[in-house]
Amino acid sequence: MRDIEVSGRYAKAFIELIAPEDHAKLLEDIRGLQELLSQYPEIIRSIDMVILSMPRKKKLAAALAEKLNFSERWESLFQLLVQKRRFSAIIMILSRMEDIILEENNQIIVKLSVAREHDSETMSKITRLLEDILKKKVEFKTRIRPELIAGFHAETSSLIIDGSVKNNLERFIKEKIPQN
Amino acid sequence: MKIHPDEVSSIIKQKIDSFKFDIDIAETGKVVMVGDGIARVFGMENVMAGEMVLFPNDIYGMALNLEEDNIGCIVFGDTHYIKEGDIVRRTKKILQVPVGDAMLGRVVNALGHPIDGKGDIKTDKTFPIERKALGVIQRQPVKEPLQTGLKAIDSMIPIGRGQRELIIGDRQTGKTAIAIDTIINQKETDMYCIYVAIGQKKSSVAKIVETLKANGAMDYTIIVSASASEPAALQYLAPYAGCSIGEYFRDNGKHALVIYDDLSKHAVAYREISLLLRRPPGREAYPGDVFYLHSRLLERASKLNNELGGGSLTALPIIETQADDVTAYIPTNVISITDGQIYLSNRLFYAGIRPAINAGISVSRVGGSAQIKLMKAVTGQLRMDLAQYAELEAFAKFGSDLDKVTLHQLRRGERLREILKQPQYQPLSVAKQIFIIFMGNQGYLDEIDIHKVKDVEHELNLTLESEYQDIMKEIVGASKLNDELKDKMHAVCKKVVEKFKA
Repeated sequence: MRDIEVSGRYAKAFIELIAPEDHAKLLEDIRGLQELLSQYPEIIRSIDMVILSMPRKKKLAAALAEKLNFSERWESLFQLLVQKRRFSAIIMILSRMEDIILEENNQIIVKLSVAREHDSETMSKITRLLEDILKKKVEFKTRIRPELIAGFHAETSSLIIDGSVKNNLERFIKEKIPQN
Repeated sequence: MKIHPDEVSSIIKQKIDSFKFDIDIAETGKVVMVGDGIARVFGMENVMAGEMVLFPNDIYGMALNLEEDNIGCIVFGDTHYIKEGDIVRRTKKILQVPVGDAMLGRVVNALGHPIDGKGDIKTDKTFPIERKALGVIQRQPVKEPLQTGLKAIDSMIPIGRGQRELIIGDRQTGKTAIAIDTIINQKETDMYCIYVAIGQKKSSVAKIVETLKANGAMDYTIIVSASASEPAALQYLAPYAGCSIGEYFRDNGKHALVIYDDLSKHAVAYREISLLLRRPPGREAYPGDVFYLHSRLLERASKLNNELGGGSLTALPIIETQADDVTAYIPTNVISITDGQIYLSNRLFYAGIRPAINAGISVSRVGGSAQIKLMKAVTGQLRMDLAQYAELEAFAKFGSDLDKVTLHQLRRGERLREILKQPQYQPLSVAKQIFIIFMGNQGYLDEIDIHKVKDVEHELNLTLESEYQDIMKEIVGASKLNDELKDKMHAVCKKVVEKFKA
């Protein structure tokens, strides 16, 4: 609970420091960092380690910020997080930042699960449907889940849109077959 | 029975045809903390206060605290099946309970689900658990009596249909016994009863069910049980569920009686929930809205006006006091909400006076207008006589030094008190109550040995049943105690007392 609150605060403060016209560049940084940290989760674990000295932790964090568009700002953020022993919240902070920037552009990230890969026509149909429901431009993070049988399952931070055959079959069982 | 495969397949076809493939859209949040019967959920910005939410494994909860970035929910199930990060869905529905005639004779939990092993309750009607109490226009004053079958109550603290009468007293003073006797006494009437057990032992509830069954009272009774082992959330909901079940009868022009046993435990359950939800504690650590908790429940008891069918919902809340302290927070709250209280005294109970009603501080503020006319005429000075007797009782030990009038008062009071004693599960009809009180008030028992008063009463009841059914009917219907009826009653009393003088 506290992590969510704290990460929200850090994300908002950081975005305020960057000029709105540079938000697209910032989004690049965020996505780059997200990819890196998901590929190498040991980076966070190492910086969080108790046996590592503070100067060493700060050095590691600084190295992480080196090649980013706003390296100075990122370095300051990482130093602060290391100092406050809150570096583990970085994933949550990044995701919150991503949400805020997309929100500004009336965009939303949708975790889309489909049973198999679809052609572009089907995908554009799904996109149109979701954009109608969400009243925002959608950006997909797609996953293949064969257990859905067919249809799709979309998830945002506050909404689940389930048009999968699996869900409809479950509903059919609930509604039409008497339970004992 | 022969099963035709073609019939089965046509039913299946119909079911498949009527099923519509749909896209399910649900507003969701994520569990960030769970435990002790509550959960904190992040997200669900549009959730309403009191709305049902659905946790994984089909566990329902209710949103109680709406905060800036999270909501506090009470969980109606085992929180062990919920973990951090689980998705919670909005249902956009307020919690409902099944209602209807099909509920009669059943034992249900706070959500209205049967727990008596008798299968599903076949009703398609539901009522929201929280309903706004009716306004002034929809009501009318209490005017019909609710007979408890207990002489001490029906004569001195009459209860009307639609009234809220508190039963208050220490532990083991007979509070539940009064409630059960009242239910049993509704056997031949048009009253439906709902008994709500809050925070009680399951064995106690089972015992009550058995007692009601043995007395043929389950046919018109519904039991709502949220026992001590169930989550505080269910104990908090139980009285509201019971009230909604009763309101169904009231709204259909019928009469219902709902007993909340007891609201002290209900307040404790609410305190537990409130503290877990981090609401600021007030007096005795209860939250600030504990008065509203009970007032909004008890305000739902009412007598409807004739345009709405004239139905009624009578409430008998029970409060357990600690060491006779009626000035504690919850007792004073409920006393101020209700239309009177029946106070049960520990001291009287152990002195063998049962029901242990302390007539001095028990009162019914609106029941007087609902009391049947003859009872009112007969009881007249009963409360005053008993109060005087209680005052003089202290002097009784100086017996010989007292003047004749005082001795007479003591003798009368002693006998009146004796006739108000009544065994458990033996409610009396109004006519019999009127007769024995008439007998005591008119002095027929003054010369009878105190130990024989109960025998006289027994004989009177037998005589009335066997020989004077017509007078009993006349008494119930009479609008006033005229001389003719008085003479008839005197004749019966004389006849009974004669047998004991010999």
